[in-house]
Amino acid sequence: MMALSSLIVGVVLLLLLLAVAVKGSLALRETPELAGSDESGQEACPPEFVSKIFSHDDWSYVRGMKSTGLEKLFRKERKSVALVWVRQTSSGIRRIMREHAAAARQSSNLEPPTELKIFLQFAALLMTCGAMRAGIHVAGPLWVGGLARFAQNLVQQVAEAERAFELATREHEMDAMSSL
Amino acid sequence: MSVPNNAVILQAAYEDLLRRSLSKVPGDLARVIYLASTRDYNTGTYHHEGLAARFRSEVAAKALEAAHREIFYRIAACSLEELVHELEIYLNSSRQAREDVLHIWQKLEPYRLALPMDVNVAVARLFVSNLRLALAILQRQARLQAGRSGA
Repeated sequence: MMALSSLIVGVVLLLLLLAVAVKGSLALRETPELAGSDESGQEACPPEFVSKIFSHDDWSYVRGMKSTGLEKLFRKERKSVALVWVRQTSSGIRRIMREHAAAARQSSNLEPPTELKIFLQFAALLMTCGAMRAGIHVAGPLWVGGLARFAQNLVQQVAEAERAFELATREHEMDAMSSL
Repeated sequence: MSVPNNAVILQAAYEDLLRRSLSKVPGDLARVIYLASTRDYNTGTYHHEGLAARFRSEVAAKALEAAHREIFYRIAACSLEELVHELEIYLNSSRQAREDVLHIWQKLEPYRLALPMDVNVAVARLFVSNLRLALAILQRQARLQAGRSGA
């Protein structure tokens, strides 16, 4: 009986997540300025803007005006900005993953524990982005600020680790070439 | 005698731009709009007659682009309250009627053209979104004021 109810709860949660994901992708399709933007060659999002997008300060200012119309507009606008940031972050993670896979294919001294650690970091980041997307749809961007800062820090760490890995691979190859 | 290098010339052009032109423009929002207006719609290159005459045209273009980017990031990092204040400064310095500018800005969103090239998409989106909100706030204040003076 317990197992059946757990299964039902699990299925309901899964369906809820699926509905949120579909809603999110439809919302992005409805906003051509977001869906069509080319992110290649653009600057990275400075960390102070991440705190700003998910901060409560502007919300307190808008709430002080006691206007439901303005509050509604604020929630709609900030939600769409937050979703753009999440989308940008996940595409950044995927790009780093691709670059890492390409560098790893050429490397002759791969260390399985390090690779496993990197893979787990990537997986955690992509899951965090998924959770943020769901959180933004369900509760709004102001409630996922902690997750956003966590993701931002982890992305920076992974990007730095990836740069170090590429440098080490290149140095190793140069050493191998010079020893020939 | 030493010849100044490119970075020194660019810095001089940048300071000249701040001192002669931008210091006379009231508020960062108006400065961003002004700097965006020196950019060619088709080529994306910046041009300023006076600055190009004092420095080379390429140096002037680089100084304009650097100032545009720097002031844009400054205004995009403003709180909503600060942006409403900036928008008020802009509206007060405009020769057109305040209500007309508010109306046109809400309809056409001309401030979208004020974005520098290749700026981060989330920052750009935040700037546009905050300006929409600032316009709605000022529009509401104008309505409330009109209601009070009409009563």
